[in-house]
Amino acid sequence: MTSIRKILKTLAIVPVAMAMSLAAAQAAGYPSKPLTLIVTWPAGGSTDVIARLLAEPLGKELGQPVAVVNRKGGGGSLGTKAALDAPKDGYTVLMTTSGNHILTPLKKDVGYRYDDFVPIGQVVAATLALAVRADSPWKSLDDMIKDAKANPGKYNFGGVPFGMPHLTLNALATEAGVELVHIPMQGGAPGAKALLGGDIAMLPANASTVASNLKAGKMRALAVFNKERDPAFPDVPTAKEQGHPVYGSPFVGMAVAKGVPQEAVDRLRAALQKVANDPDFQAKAVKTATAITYLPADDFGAVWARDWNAYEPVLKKK
Amino acid sequence: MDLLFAGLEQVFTVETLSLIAIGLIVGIIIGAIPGLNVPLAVAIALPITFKLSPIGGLAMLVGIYKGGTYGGSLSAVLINVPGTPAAAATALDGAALTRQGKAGKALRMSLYASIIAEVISDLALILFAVPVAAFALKIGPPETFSVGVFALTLVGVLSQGNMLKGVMAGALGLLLSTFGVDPLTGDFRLTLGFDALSGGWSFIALVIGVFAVAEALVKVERPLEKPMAMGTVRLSDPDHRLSRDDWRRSLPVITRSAPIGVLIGAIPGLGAAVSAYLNYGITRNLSKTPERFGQGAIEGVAAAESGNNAVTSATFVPLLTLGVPGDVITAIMLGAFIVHGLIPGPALFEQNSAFIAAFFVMVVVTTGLHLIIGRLGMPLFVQTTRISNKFLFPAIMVLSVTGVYVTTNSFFDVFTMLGFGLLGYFMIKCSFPVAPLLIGFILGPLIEIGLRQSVIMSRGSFDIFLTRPLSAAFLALAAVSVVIVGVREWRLARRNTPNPKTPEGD
Amino acid sequence: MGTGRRRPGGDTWIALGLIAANAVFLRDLFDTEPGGAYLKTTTLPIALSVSLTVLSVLLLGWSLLRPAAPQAEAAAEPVPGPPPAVRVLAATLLTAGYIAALPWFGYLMSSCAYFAAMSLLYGNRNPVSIVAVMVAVPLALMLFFEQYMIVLLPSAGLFE
Repeated sequence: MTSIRKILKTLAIVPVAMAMSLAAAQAAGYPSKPLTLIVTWPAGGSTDVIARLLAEPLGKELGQPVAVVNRKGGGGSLGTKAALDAPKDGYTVLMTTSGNHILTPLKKDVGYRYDDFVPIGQVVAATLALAVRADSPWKSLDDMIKDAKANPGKYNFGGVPFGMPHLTLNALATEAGVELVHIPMQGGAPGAKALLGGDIAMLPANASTVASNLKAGKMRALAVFNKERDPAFPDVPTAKEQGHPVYGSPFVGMAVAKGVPQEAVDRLRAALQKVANDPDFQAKAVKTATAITYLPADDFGAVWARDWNAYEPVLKKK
Repeated sequence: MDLLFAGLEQVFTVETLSLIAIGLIVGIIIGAIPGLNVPLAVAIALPITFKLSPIGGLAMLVGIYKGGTYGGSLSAVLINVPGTPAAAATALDGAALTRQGKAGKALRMSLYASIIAEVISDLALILFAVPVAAFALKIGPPETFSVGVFALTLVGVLSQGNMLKGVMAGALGLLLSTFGVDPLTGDFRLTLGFDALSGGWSFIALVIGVFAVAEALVKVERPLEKPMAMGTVRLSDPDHRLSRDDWRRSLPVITRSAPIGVLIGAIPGLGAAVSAYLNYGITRNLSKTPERFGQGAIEGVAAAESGNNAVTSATFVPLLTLGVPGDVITAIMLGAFIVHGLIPGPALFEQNSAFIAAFFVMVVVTTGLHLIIGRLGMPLFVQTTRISNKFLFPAIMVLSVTGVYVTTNSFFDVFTMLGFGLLGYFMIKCSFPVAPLLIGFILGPLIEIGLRQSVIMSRGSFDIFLTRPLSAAFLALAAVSVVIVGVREWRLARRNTPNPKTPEGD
Repeated sequence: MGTGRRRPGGDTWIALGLIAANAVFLRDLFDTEPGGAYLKTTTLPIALSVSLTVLSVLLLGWSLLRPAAPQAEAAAEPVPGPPPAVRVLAATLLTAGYIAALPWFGYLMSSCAYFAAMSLLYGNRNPVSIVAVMVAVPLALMLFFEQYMIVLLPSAGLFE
């Protein structure tokens, strides 16, 4: 069968060529080939946008392209596990968020803990706000709480089940002694629609999701759950200011699996620090109502520990 | 008015126009290739648009979106493998026409129906954005459930003659959609011990498996089949042109399907595929000659194509007016808006009306360019019927594996695609209609989420589905649909069999 | 719908297959502890699985009881070489092999080999055309995705 032989002959050249090019690549030092940045949420979502915004300047800084890869599923656990199982050579980086890094592994056994990873740096600590429709009678947190106390079990709110917004509002409800009904939703966007449509009375959400409606006056924010007011929304008091010290802030940052060589880790940390602190990049990001709140690696790691300990008692009960 | 002119100025630059054209061409190619789908193309093109001007970047993405939705119909018609899920309904009659040597008819109607629907969709966006958005807001959980149920009754329409098998396929689709994660509690469900299943079955693996791979397997049985056309196909032949009769049948269908498609597009979560099938089903239900469907009824192609393309501009309505993306693709485009500092939502209309005006102009111009490019490319596309299977299907298989891998980054999902390919193959061989499987899978989450959210809202009572008027209306429509289908099936049974058994399955 | 020389009752096998699969699903479902308010996590899947089982039983009954319809198979021209069922099996195994080979042999090599094999299966006997397309198509795809779109395709794990 001459045709088969011909085919095999052609094929034989390929592995030789590839072996040669690979040898050349290894000699150059880290990074010597493109990196993979895993996003554990669907394309187009807020994490994905941040990752894609980062990928280009990061790639320039590192000298190798950074390819964004979406691996969604299992509340972020599939992608996180993929980052853990990949070869620990520093070429697989995880774009990690509170959801996949802290909340999901606390809720169920997904085969990893927050400290199986080494922090590279935090990129964003988002602001959570409690939004209501513009025509709602509530003008402050206390209005809402008073109403809810008088009518336990009457008011609905929406949110991704056991996501930061849901848990934060639950914490507030417990603290204030009110009973609210949770309507599970698939994300911030359906929540915003439900709020506008009147199916829910209030919505805890990432401020960026409701920013446009807030600015246009279709929605009102009763509170933000940060330590201080968000400069993008200076008129919205914090929950603490109103007498309810409840905090919640979903983070987005970068991490790699434990066991990656220190040289790679240092290089990545330095690159991220440079990019995140670049004023042009920050300006671009600020326009998205998601300001860059960079934290270097050690501080980021502290955030992980803090959140893990804070939410463990709440979620492990399940 | 000056806003309009300012918008025209922005759009009619060489830069923007060429970006639209590039987007359209890339979109059409990617849409036509089974294995590659539009959300992937838009997600990948996204970073490229960051460096362009806002209108330019969005123009390219809109071009990819519109081109991609249309492109799927090319492969659906020419090789009976839909390039995108939205084109699956087009394949039903489009491929039949190609088999009869009338590929040109199907291609032309597909393009023209798409364009007409797009124009209607564009107009709805520009003129009726606010009322359409108000309608979208009324669709809460109970209405979502009821619309889902209504769309599901199409399972009946599409399985006429094979009712039991059709309903089984639909049930299977619904069941498969529940695997992985409970969308309301986040708990894992039916993962059967596989980690990789914790995301549920991959939709793209299902679509490509059941359509592309299954078709490839069917074709491998007879390798020496001749290609469909020998020698140059001349597009001007009468067989490839649309007759007055064709237009007479199709125009009313288009004018009915497009507005329905617009409303479906405005409701987040439904999508182009549902619109295509729904309109196909409605058209068939209302037709005086339903038996022609599936055998090359040109109005079937018209219904499906106007249904799916009407969705494109309509999905921008919730995005622009409420800041809420209507589907996966607009969610990705949201990123493009944001990167340029434009935050879609009511604020955008007020604070940046210049941009909105330019956006509207751009959308209409894209439709126009779409018509031109589509028509110019047609003589070229139709020649693909000359490629014989021995080149075509190995290529399709490689593309399918590549496409699924690139989209999902998971070998498990690629194997899943193969599995669904086998399932599809057996379904085709044993006369199980495949469309209900797809519809069930798409509608499953919608119906479940709608049902369970509504029940929470009503604190456990089922009244809510009937007390809310829109929801009750959709349920009534669903009941009507079931009756029509049931009556037809009964008549078929009486006519076809001398003995009192169920209708002929084969 | 020509059905070729299958053993009679393809429907029977499908029905049985579905019943078996649903048994597995139902067992898994009943083992799960359901969460959720009012309507539990497992309510809908159980309802669907049970319905599908009932329908499958109906199909089973119908396929066994209906009068054997003599299918006109003579219309199909005899296919040279292995029978259709074997070809389909071969195509399936080849594809499975291709997918499995990807992480080891990388995209380019696996796709080339797969393409060549499939071309032969689909009846292509012209070695020149096989080699030409088998290199061109994967190469084009690779260039498109890796260089232009910066999306990574599997690289040869065996050689790293």
